[in-house]
Amino acid sequence: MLPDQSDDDLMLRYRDGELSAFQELYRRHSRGLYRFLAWRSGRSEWADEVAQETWLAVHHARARYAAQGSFRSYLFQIGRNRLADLQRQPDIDDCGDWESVQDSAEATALGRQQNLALHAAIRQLPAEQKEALVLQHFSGLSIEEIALVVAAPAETVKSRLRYAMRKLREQFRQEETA
Amino acid sequence: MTPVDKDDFEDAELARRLAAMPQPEPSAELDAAIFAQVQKDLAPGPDAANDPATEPAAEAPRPGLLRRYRAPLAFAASLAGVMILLPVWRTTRQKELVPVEVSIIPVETRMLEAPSPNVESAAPSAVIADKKLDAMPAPKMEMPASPPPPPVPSPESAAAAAAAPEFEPRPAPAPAPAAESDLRARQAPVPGIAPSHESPKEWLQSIERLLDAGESGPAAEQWKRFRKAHPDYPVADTLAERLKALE
Repeated sequence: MLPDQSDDDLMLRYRDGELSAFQELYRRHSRGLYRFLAWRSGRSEWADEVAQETWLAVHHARARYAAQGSFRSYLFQIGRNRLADLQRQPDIDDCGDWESVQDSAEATALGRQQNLALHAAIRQLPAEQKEALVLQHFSGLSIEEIALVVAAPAETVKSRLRYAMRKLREQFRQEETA
Repeated sequence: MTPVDKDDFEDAELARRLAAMPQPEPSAELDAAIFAQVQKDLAPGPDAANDPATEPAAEAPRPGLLRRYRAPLAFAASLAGVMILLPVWRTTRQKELVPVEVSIIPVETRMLEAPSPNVESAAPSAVIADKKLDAMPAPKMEMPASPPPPPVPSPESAAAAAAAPEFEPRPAPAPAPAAESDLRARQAPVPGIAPSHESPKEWLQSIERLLDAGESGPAAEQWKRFRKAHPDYPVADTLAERLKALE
């Protein structure tokens, strides 16, 4: 059964030409990767473009893949590097247009307002803290996986997360007192 | 509630709110585009009409004619090999059979030369030789009690024997003891003295009959001739005494 297999096993089977193994990997990680790219870029068209490039890069590099126990870190590293390449282009405006409330038509007016405030608070976080927060809470990566993706020690990642949560908590208190 | 407990509570509440936030999702079109690209690479098939044109270098090379018809070519080559080698093999086999039939003739000749052939063979050619030998009259033998020594083979018969090794005669008997060879030497008549129609035994019997008939003169004469012809032939004591009396 494919769902019972590890990411590395699936990647090896996919390397040998098994399309269903790729489909299972895509099912597991496509949403998390896309959320990370969308939050980090702030533009849905960039997220689409980089997500497609990332998966195709994995596809073309499948023969060289070495099973090291963290396919997800490998995948997010590729996406992060691709996005960084895109953002280095001089005529790119880094101001994102993506708003989470766009997709929350069913939410209540209060919930929509809270989400807007939280969304704004996250966007105001320093990039490194925002990145760690998104990877942990929206993409589901562990501290060790985040450390691999951002190429920083695990303690640094914990510190970034701690600061990010503190700022969001302060924002949360202000909302309650308001 | 301590400040730490309050922070933990707020973190849990914040985490719940973060998890409840609506998140961007990849569109179905994006999923389809990625799957289509990967599937196309993994299982290349005939291009659809709306597929982008692929570069010729990206196409898988078509198998060559030699590889495509490898199995039929191998079968045809095997068949041709059999058709060529079969006549050659038949010719070789016929050539192998001819010398066997030819070799019968010298063997028969050799057997006819021998007074008492002793051929041990189950081959059909040997059977033919035996039948021909039966049809021939038996050679006359001067001394039936002991077979004469086999004649010395001539160079032609020796060559024929070498050409037909399957008709080997029985191995030569072991050399006779010295006494037997002496007896044969004594039985051998001196050329020009012994009558050609009598054996030494018959000759002695005729001499004894002359003695019984009272013809001492002819008996003495025959005895002298006998002794010249067979000087070492053993004579019974009674006959020897009667012949001594004549002398």
